[in-house]
Order: sequence, then structure tokens, then C-alpha cells
Amino acid sequence: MSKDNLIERFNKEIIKVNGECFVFKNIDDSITQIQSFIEKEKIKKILINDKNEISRSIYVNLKRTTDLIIQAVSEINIKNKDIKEELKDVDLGISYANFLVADTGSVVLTSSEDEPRLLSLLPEFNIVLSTSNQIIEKLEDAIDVIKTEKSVTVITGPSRTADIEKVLITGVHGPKKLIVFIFDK
Amino acid sequence: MNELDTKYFKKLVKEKLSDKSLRTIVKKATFHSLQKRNETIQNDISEKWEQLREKAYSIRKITIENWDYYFNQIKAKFSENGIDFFYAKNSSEVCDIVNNLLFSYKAKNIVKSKSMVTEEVGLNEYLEKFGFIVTETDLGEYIIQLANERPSHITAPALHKSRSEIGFLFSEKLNIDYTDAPEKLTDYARQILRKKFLNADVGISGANFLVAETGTIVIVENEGNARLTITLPKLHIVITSIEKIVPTLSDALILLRLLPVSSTGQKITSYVSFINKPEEEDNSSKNLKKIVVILLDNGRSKLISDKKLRSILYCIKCGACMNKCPVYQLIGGHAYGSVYPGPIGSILTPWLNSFKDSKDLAYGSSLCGACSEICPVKIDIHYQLLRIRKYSIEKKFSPFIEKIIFKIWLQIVKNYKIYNLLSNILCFLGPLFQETGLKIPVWSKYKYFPAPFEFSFHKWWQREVKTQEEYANV
Amino acid sequence: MKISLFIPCIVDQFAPQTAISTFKVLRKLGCDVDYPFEQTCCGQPAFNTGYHHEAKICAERFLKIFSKSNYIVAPSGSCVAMVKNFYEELDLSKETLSIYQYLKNNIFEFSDFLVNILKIENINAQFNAKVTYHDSCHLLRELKISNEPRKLIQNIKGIELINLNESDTCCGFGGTFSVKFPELSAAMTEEKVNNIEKSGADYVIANDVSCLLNIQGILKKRNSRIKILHIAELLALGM
Ligand code: SF4
Repeated sequence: MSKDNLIERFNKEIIKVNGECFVFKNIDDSITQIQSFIEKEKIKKILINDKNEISRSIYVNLKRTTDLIIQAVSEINIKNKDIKEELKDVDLGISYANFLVADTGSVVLTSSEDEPRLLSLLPEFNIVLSTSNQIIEKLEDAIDVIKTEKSVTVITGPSRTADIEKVLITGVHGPKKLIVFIFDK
Repeated sequence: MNELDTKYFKKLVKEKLSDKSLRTIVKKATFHSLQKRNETIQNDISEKWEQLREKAYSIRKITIENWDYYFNQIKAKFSENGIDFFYAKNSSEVCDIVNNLLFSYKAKNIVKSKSMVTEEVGLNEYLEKFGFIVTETDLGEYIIQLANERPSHITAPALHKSRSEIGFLFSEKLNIDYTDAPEKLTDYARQILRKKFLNADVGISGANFLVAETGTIVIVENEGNARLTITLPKLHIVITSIEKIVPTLSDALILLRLLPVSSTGQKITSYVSFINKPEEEDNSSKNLKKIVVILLDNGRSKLISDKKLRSILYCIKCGACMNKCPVYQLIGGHAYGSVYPGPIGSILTPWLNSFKDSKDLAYGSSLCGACSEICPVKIDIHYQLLRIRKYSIEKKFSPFIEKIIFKIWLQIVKNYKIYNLLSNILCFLGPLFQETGLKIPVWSKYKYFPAPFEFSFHKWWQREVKTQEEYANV
Repeated sequence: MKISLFIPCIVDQFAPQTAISTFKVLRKLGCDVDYPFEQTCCGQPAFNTGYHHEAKICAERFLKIFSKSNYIVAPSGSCVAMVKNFYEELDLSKETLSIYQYLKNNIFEFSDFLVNILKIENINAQFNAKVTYHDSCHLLRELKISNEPRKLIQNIKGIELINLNESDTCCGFGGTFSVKFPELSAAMTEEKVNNIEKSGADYVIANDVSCLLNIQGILKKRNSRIKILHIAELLALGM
């Protein structure tokens, strides 16, 4: 599958599971998107995995342009703080994906110091950053990573339940919304 | 706690049959799942479903046939990965192991994500006796826990409850204003459970697959409660049963393509966690969290060694057989009185619990085979029902009168002359009952029972086609 | 083509018309039909209740009686499935096992035989009625027959085959089940009959007399105008 096909497929699948996906050519466009999201959802505190070039510059950019509380995971690490405590009132977590899976519209995250498992779990909203090079066709293509990492989480859409009369509700214990940003130069 | 005993199956069936609102809810819910399943299989699965089933079947078959091998492999892998492992022969062993762990961790607050095996073990009741505070965190399980009931379905525990019932339950137990809006109810639960999570000392979960090759624990879920259960507390206990092993990670991924589709019609669930090794407790310390895996046997290894019965353990607990079962659709899960309801429950329970008390489950089926047809791992469920019936007769658990009837019956059908004589008498009398039908005890209360026709086919043949010329003239 | 008729006991006594129709249709299609007179029951009632010892005696008797048959045809999916598939579960003696290995490939349900062996989908019959079709469980799931009867029905002139909602859901008979769990069995049949009534058909067609009689059990209780009809009778009617 070509890169464009992969993006298209991923987009199609993530919409089916109530997720969202945006494709950006550059960081600035994504900042505008995040800003309007912050406004719409009345976000007050953000925590971001900043270990990567893209996420770092988003972090720096956001820090400059908004007056919300924005923290980077690396800072917390330096300060030796407990992630759990830190995440208590964060309402938007920004993660960085290892892979995106086109076949199912899934995000593959490995846990690490930079990507603590709770970052994509505790906050009400989760934005996942990624580049178009990271899209794989099927989950099977990530099998080596799944084998070698301490733990891997495959996320497909927001947290959901249908335990009450099969009515679909998103955002039970995990995020209400899952938005994937794909950077495609 | 509701009376949970398979002994009462027949009685409960009647009781549940008269509950029309239950029937409406169960039908609606099971139909919903089936419809989504069928749509997904049709539109969203690129491979042929039957081929996938075939693959899944052979994975499960190989695993169970070589269970000893994979069991040893996974034990070694767990220890290599720093995961503690226990094999528990029965329920009380599981309880003891957990109890000891909780004491050594000075734990008080326990969060649990869905695990049918802990239901089998009766873990919650046990732990509560010792003063531990156990909270179920899957929304369906939480509802059930508040209501002090048992799950009525293996993947949708509160399937039998209407939104208004849940509304009243929440308002009574949680002291909130009544609402029957699922979003609001879910939101209340989220808030309460979030606090529980943040204060939890220990998390207990089930597991969907345990990968022998890598020692990976695979947990499938939609809400995120399992992720919280395994991430927040410093001790994570996995409790499941011995057949959950699969040989390789790619085997697990194949099964993963069938499991959510069969359960809820999802191609994949919102979350799939693959856990290989414990993580650091938090980023400030080098302490590792602890993961303990407990595998319950409870009679399963006996099933594994029985060539005809072992396919029961191929089950990946998807719940499709109950959704599809016309009996389950009418009576819901509680009627069975077993931890595992529906077709899979009816073939598993008699071998795990008292056979005598639960053999009736196997008779509560028309043997239509809808369960076997939908089962993603191709378990011959209706054949297994028949095997339980056979064993039940061998063990002489059948009613005396039934035994006599079949003895007489055999004498008749063994000899076609006697058979024909009796059949001619019956047919001769038949027309007398043409209007009213035969009066058969109980049956005739519900259905007209036909009378024999005025002559049998044997008779007709004898009359019309005895000779070659006659044959030509018919 | 030489054929041995296998007429299940319930058909023998309760619905000989079905057997006669089966015979007539096969005759008309040029088959040389014979009826091994010693046959009684295939053993299914005992088998389904768990009485394997008794079932085995019936099975071995059945196999011996039909051991010389070329083709065995029966107007029942359930009894054919019993012989073809479920005999495997009985601990057959060496002698009868070899007959079984041979016979299991030569025993056919009526519509299966017509469509797949005789290659006949249209028997040039006519019948003006609205009918609906119920899939009998063992015919559908053990023998995988679902298109064959539908083709045969659709090719009858003047007939309108109406789709039956949940046509593949069990009618609730299940032999011993309907005796041990009469309420449950009846509730299933009620659901089936609700769907049949909703279809608006005048006749409900099936390939198994046991399902039809069971369905009729509720139809009669309700004084319904809908009639049951075995596929063999339907085909013979319009011939
Ligand atoms: S028996 Fe088959 S259909 Fe039923 S729960 Fe197990 S895997 Fe699913």
C-alpha cells in the first residue's frame, strides 16, 4: 500500500470507531488546530510527551502562544515527580505514537519514561502525534515491537462502553476523545 | 446474593420465561450484538471468515493437545520476565494465594477489572470476609456488584438490566438523583471509580491470552478500566484459567481478529494491552511494580486429557454462543444458575461442578447447533451436550421411568413385526383423536399433539406396492 | 437409479402422506424405489436422550438393513444427520463400522438428492399459493442444505416464496427437549409461529416432519389458517 493509501485507510477506519484524524503538512497548522480544540473543550492543563522533534516544537509553540498550564513529561522526570499526581488535573494528554495501524485505525504506544502509560489514559482528551512514515498496514507488522517492549498498548478510538442497554457511550475510564495527528511532509 | 445453583435450572427456566420484560431486554441486546457481528464480518473483515475460524480452531487444538509443553514454556518465560507465577488446583488455592499477597502488601483497597475466573472462584465474597474493599470497575460488573448479583453474560455482565433498573439502583446505592440516561449513569460511575482507582493498593484482572513463546499477557477491553487496573496499583494480579495459553504472539493476533468481532462486532476493542514485563513503580524510583499470574485448574486438566471432551477448552470466552442461542435469548443468563451461562456454560459447568446437579443444563437445549455454528473456534458444542447426556445415563442419573420407557422402546424397534403391530393399532385409533390431538401430560398444555394417521407408511406399502405389477401401477 | 427409501418412524405413523409423496416424486423422476420393510427407527430418540447403548443397537440394525442399498433417501434432515454424522459418536462394532463408512456417503435428504444427485431443480409442478420456508436445524447445520429446497420451491409455477424472518432459528422441538422442558420448547415455537404469521404465507414448508408437526402444535392452538406442508408433499401436489 502506498503512503497515501495508508493514510486514507487509517482515516477511514478511525472514523468508524469514533476517533478523529488530521493530516498536517507543517507544525504551524497543527498548532492552530490544537488551539481551537483547547478553546472548544475548555482545556486547562496539558501534559505532552516532548521527546521527539515534532512534539518538542509543538510544546514550545504552545507554551509561547497560550497561557494554559503546559507541562512536558521530560520536566516532570527531571523534577522526580510522581506521574500519577501530576496527571490528576490534566485534561489533555498529548502522546507520541510508535505506529499507526491502517487496517484497524489503531494507535500503537509502547510505554517508556517519555510515554508513561497513564498519559494516554487518565486525561479526558488524548491527542496522538505521528508521522505518515509510521503507518503500518496491519497489527502483525508491529509484532517485533510487541515482543520486545515491556508493554505495548494498542488503542482504537476513545474509551467506550455499551453496558447499559447496548447504548454506546464514549469516555468511560479512558479518554472521551481520541485525535490522531499525522504529519506528512 | 441470588441463588446460584444449577440444581434449580428447571425451576428458574419457568420463572424467567414468565418475565416478559426480561425477555425483551435480552432479545434486544443479543440481537444488537449479533447484527453488529454479522455486519462487521460482511463489510470489514478482509479474509474469509470460515478460513479465519479454521485457523483459530487449529491454534486452539494444538495448544490444548500440547498443553503440558506450552504450560512449561510459559512458566519459564514468566520467570525470565520477572513475573511471579502460581498454579492453583482449585478455588480455595486461588483465594489463599491472593489473600497472602494482599496481606504482604498491606493492601486494603482492591480494584478489579473483568475476570470470569474470579467469579468461578468466588473471590470477591472471600476477600470481603477478610475486610478487603473490592471494587469491580468494568461498568457492567460495577452495576452487578451494586445490585449484589452475578453476571448474566460472560462479556456483557449487566445485559439483563434495563436502564431504568440501573437508574433506580444508582439512585438508591449511590445516593444520587434518579436518571435513566446512560451517559449520565456512566459519568457517575466514572467519577466514583476514578477515585477508587487512585486509592487502590492492588489491581486484579483477568487475561484473554497468555503467550507461551514470549510470556506476554494479553488483555482486551473497551472502557480503559483494565488499563487502569494494571497501571495504577503497585501490585497487579492476573487471575485466569489454565487453558488461556496460546503458543505464539502471532497466534494471539489471529485469535484477536475473531474475539472482538464475535463478542460485540468490533474489529478490535478500544484497548489491547500486551504486557511482557513489570514496569518501574513510577519514574522517581527504580522499584519495579509486581505482576503475579495465577492459573486456575479446577478440573480443567482432567478435561484436557480426555480426547472427546477437550474441545470445550478451546473457548476464548467471546459470548457469541449465548447471543445466538434461542434458549438463552428467552431466559437470560441467570436461569442457568452457573457462573458461565449459555451453551458454553452448559458444556463446561457439569465437568467443573457437581455433575449430578448440573447435568440438566445439557438437556435444556434443542440441539439446534446454532452455538457450534457461530463459535469462532469451532467448538462442537451440541456434540458436547450429547456427551454430557450420555455420561449422565452411564452414571444412572436418569429418572427410573425414562429408563423403563427406553427399555421397552428398544424391544419394539428391534423387531419390525412388533413395531408394525403396535403402529397399526396406534394408527387405527388415530382418527379418534384427529380433532383434539393426543393428550400428552404437560406438553398438551402448550401445544396440540398430533394423532397418528389412519394408516402407516409400512401399511400403505404393504397394501399398494407388494408386488412388482402393483409397484408399476402406483 | 436404484434407491432405498428410509422413512423415519415419526413419518411412518404421523405423516405417511409425506413418505408417499417422496416415493411418488422419486418414481416420477425415473428412480427405481425400494422400501426395506424391516426398517423401524434410526435410534435418534435414544441417542438424543443419552441412551447410547439402545441407540447403538438401533444403529447397527439400521446399517445392516440398508447395507446393500445403493442410495438411501429420506424425507428428513434430522434422521439423515443422525445416520450420517451422529452414528460417529456411537461405539459401532467393527462389522457395522465398515458399513457405516460406506453408507454415510450414500445417504441423502430428499431435496439434497434431487438437486445434487439427480441434478433436478425444477420438477415442472404448479401450485398457486404463498408459502414460506423454515430451515430445520440439522438439515441446515449438519447437512448444510439451505439453497436446495428453496430452488425447488421457487421453480414451482404459481408459487410465491416469502422470506421468513429468523428462518434459521430452531422451532423448539428437539425431541427429548420438548418433553423435559415443555415450557421452554413452547416459548421457542411461539416465537417461530409469530414469525410465520408475520410472513403472510398460507403454508409453511420444511423438510422435516418433526419440525412441522411441532409448529402445527402452536398453529392449531391459535386456530391459525396457516397450514404445514412437507416439501415432498408440496412437490407431489403440483405434479
Ligand atoms: S464456546 Fe465459542 S462462541 Fe461460546 S464463548 Fe466460547 S468461543 Fe465464544
